[in-house]
Amino acid sequence: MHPAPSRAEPVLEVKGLTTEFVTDGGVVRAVDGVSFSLGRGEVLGLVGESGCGKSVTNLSILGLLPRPQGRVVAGEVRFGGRDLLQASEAEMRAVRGNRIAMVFQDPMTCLNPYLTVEEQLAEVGQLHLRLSRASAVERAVSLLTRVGIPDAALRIRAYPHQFSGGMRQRVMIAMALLCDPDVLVADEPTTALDVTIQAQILDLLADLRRERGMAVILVTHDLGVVAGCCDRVVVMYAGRVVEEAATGPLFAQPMHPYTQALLASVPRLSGAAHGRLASIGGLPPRLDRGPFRACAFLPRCSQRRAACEAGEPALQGRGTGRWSRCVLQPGELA
Amino acid sequence: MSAAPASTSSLPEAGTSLGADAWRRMRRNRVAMAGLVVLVLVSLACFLLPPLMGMDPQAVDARRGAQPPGGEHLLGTDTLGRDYLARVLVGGQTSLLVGLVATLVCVLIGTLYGATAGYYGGRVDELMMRFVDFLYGIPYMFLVVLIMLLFEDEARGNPLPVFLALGAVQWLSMARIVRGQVLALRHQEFVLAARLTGASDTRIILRHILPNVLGIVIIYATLTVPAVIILESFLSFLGLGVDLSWGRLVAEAVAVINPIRSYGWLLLWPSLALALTLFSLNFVGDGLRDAFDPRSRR
Amino acid sequence: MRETLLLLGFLGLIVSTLWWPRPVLRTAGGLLLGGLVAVFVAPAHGLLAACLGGAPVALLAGWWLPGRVHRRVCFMVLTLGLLVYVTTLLMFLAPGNPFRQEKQANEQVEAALREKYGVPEDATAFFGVYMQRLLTEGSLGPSIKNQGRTVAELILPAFPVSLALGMTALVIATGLGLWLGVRAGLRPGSVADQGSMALAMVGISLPNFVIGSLLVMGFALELGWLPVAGWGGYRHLVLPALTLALPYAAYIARLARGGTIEVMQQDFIRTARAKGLSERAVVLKHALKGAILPVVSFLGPAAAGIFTGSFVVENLFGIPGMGQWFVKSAINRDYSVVLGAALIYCSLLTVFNLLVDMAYAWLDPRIRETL
Repeated sequence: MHPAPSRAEPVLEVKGLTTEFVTDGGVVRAVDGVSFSLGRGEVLGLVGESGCGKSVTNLSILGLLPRPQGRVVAGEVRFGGRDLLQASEAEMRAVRGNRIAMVFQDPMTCLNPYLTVEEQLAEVGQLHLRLSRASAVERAVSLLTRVGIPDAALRIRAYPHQFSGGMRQRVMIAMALLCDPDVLVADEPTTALDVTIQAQILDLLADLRRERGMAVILVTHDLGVVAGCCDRVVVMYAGRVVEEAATGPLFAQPMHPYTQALLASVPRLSGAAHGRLASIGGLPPRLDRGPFRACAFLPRCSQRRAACEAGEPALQGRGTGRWSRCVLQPGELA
Repeated sequence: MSAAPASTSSLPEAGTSLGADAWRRMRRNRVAMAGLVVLVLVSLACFLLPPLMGMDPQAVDARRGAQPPGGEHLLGTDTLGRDYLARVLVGGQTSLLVGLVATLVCVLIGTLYGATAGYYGGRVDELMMRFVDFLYGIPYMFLVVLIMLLFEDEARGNPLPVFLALGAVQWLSMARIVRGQVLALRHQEFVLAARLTGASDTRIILRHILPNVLGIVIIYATLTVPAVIILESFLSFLGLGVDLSWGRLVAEAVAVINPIRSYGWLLLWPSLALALTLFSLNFVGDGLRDAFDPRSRR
Repeated sequence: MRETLLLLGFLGLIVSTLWWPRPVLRTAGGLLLGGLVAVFVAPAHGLLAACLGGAPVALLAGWWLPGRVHRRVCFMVLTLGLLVYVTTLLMFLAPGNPFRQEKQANEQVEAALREKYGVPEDATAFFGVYMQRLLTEGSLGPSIKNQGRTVAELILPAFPVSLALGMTALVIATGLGLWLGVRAGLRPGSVADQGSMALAMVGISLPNFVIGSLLVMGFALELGWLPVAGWGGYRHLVLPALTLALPYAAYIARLARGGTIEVMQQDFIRTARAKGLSERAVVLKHALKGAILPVVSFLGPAAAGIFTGSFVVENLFGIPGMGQWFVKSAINRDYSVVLGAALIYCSLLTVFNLLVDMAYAWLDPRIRETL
């Protein structure tokens, strides 16, 4: 499938990242001790239900949390030999959009409706690459052509509302790639798009990654996308990492009941007439009630044991590159 | 705070209706609650004190013209020697009444008009709102001045025409807001359900749709009251309004200002009363809006 | 009865411009524009010159101008006509008339006066006389109460006064309001925000004549820095313009704050930050346009409020502007002066509204196509 990523030297490393939000109802710990590393040229999937902290993790990495409500309270983000969480605002600006770029979920709302596409693309090149306006526009046109926008030289003068959803997402991707970033963070890049367009965008992303050798963090709740694109997967639940594995083994043998449940809820053609799709009963826990006394997934877990009540399990090694936050050994899982 | 087992409380507390929730938020808004208290106090003072204490705003104390506050006349007297406390309180009756009744007129016209336009939609909506746009283009002060002329003879002592004139020009925003809400509501399932049971359009509008826009109507009505009171004071100031209101008192005070004697208290008391009332109304209105729509605050 | 029908017909005509087909709009718009030119040219240079001037304008305008401008022109001209008619109706409905108030007037004298000034007993007939005089002679007619003077003689000197006052106030209101509002909206909940909004609350909650009186007592009577009242020179402009502007500045500040907060929560602001733009660039380049849109759409009503609000301020400061004439003449039933003032005010505001709409379209590309 993909060239084997080099695990030796991670381009980005997140350690113990903890992010809190101050709300009317109290302090919400949206991300709690999340760690993972991203190899050069690797595609890492970040999976979980809505509200499990995937997006907040990414915003924390780039220092884009909404202020003053959101703040990182602990952790480290190693990138380019330093800790981004300690970097000054000016240093962060030099990284954002340049070394680490981001593509967001909804291309309808993420482009500025009041400015032409040219304006929005050219300013990135002018800012980070110190290009003149003319060469910034030229670079923008060539990238737009690369991401598959026909008549790019002409279309670049249009406003975002004059593009379709899929085209806008292509514009967003072109914008993110303008400076050849080391890391591309794609936050649910296809969720807001039609199914046929989704496949096109994912193919485009895969091609571009191969061409440029950049690493990608692909946030999604769609396991089909994960199976098709990712080298490795981090499964998140209630602000924590509950399982981490390479894509193949994860699908073959999930080691956390939550991952199992997620996989079971994906419709399969081969599964014939099972009748109903499995769904996960209940809702994710509230995050504003302080630390958990038991496993966060316990109330919804179908394989409860007495040991689950004892306290929150740690993330435990399960062989090379595999981690699971469950007291059950692989053999004990149903 | 002890960590509860996470799942038991994951559902929102049952049974808090939108209104109760809003009221809870409103009560926490100290400025708005203070405004409410001030409003009640001002209204009570204006409507209860004069009859209870037998005050007469027209009684002339010829020996005591233009007296500064203090002594027998708590707030002083005007240049003709009339007790200023009585005049400010009775003037307040008019101003408050005008604000209230004109707002009711405006709510009535605006809500019905907006609900009709929004409910029927399409061409009817376009036509009706086009008319509103047209009226928006006309500076309303013209209309008010002209309408006031119609009632010139009757206006003295009878504030009804003022209510009508002011309500008649203030309903446009209300109509627009209600129409927007109704437009969004009319495709909801409960309206469809009502229609399936054979309810008439009138009944659907009155019984099913209007109760749902009540919140926003109340909010904007609260913000309309101060606008109307200000408008009334403009008219009084120009000599077109009623006999005795806060605006008229300010106008009289401004008329006697001169570089040698400014009769500061004549300007101070009605201005203060006006400002206090309008402040409170605006704070209450803002508070209600924040309470019903927490998003608008931040 | 006839009046009601006429009124409804007029309204229907105005509203129907929305659905007029292209060719009709073009023809009507061109004719109206050409007609306007002719009306201005005719009194000075005669009928022939008027036709020679108006025809090419009509042709050119019908040919070149975009459809939405035609629609606007039709709407505006018809609206002005309706406004004159409604004003006439209301004035005739009001008790009293300009002749009966003079004590010695008996019926013969009144009839003679009506003949002299061209004021029939019937409102619709008066409207006819007035419009005919306006269109064929380009004249606003004689004043009824100020003998021997024409309306133009009375009002036109007052127009620049009101215009200067209104424009100054509008500029102050917009500038001050935007400055306060955007600053507040960028840091909601901060000291700057709470201060600005408290100030705005004062501006909204005080009628402008109270603000004006306080300013006069402070700056003119106590400190003696500025004149108490009157007209002439910029020093006379400061207090009235400020008085007129403050309530609108307050309103604009609140709108700008709301707009800024709204825009700063948009996804595209996050995109702009994710690009690595400085906060300054994010605000100035990406947020400002959207943030001031609600303010721009308020500028129309604000201008209407400010220009007619000068009724009160001109009265308070003894400024010889048009507002004074309007109110005085309305009370005296000087029909032609009231109509003249109304016509000038409304023309001014319609033109202003057209400019505002164009500004809005320039700011928001999504509106451009639908206008």
